[in-house]
Amino acid sequence: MQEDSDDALMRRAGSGDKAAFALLVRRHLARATALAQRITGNRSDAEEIVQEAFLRCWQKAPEWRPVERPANDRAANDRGEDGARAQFGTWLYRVLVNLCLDRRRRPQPVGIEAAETVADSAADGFDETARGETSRRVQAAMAQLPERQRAALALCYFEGLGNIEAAATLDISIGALESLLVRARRALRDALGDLAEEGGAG
Amino acid sequence: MTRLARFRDLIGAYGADPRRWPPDERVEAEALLARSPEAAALQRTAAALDALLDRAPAPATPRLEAATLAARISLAPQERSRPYLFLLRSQDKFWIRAVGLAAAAIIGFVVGTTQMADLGEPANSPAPIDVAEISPW
Repeated sequence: MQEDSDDALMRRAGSGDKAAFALLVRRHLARATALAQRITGNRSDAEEIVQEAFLRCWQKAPEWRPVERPANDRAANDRGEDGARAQFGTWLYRVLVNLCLDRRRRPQPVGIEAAETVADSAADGFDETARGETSRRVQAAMAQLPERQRAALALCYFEGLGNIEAAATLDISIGALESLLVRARRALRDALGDLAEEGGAG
Repeated sequence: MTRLARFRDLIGAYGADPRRWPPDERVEAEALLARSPEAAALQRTAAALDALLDRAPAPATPRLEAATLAARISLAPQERSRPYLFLLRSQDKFWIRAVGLAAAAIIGFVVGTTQMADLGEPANSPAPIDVAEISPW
């Protein structure tokens, strides 16, 4: 039996079909959480943002219409994605990334609340089993990146989105995306240069 | 043909693995890589950073359970657009034509009735009264 596309599921969700919506959530929850966690660096924030993104997905489902994907988005075709799936993914991840970036613009708590936030950030939820000194250094260097650079890197490098889809998700041009990526990688190279040399590569 | 400057940008943005490069530039960039020692050196530098990025800790498995989350969220009301907005959005051309026709009909009606009024009195209207006939002077 052919699997329903995300587009079809969104249409059904738009008619109030809760089972279709549940399937969409199941399909995208892990990836959405991973992306939000890579951008925010914090598990609790990421989960809160993912819930908000899916809430908007449910609320907007009756009005959601797929938009035409650029004909030259061969990256998506290379990954074997059908158009609707890529479009829904782009839409969802755009909502998600915007929520991640907006989170930083909100006033930060002070005093006791701030102390709680710091304590919570320590429990960032990244996989503890694989953590060594190098992993910690890499994560710390990524945490120092401006959030838009981190978002670009998360989308292109870690989530494997093509440049067209990643640029659409961030709502910027491909040139601007590449600029973010170049600056992000340059900053990481500067921060981790000693590790790269120890590794014998480069 | 990909020049070295573009190759530097490409690899600086997307890393060493050609599978991450934009598909429409990949073939030419790989051709440059095969013939240019400078390009190969750039790729090695990028590969060292990629190797470090690959050691970034993976995000943990979500604590949220998909079915529970979906069930809770789907209790919220959905946003439904107002019908006339939907019609305006989906039938733009139809409404533009309809409004145009209606405007033309109204203008035609107004012009027509105005001109009818100017055509004179109807034939069976009473003859005008001569003021002199009823004057006491």
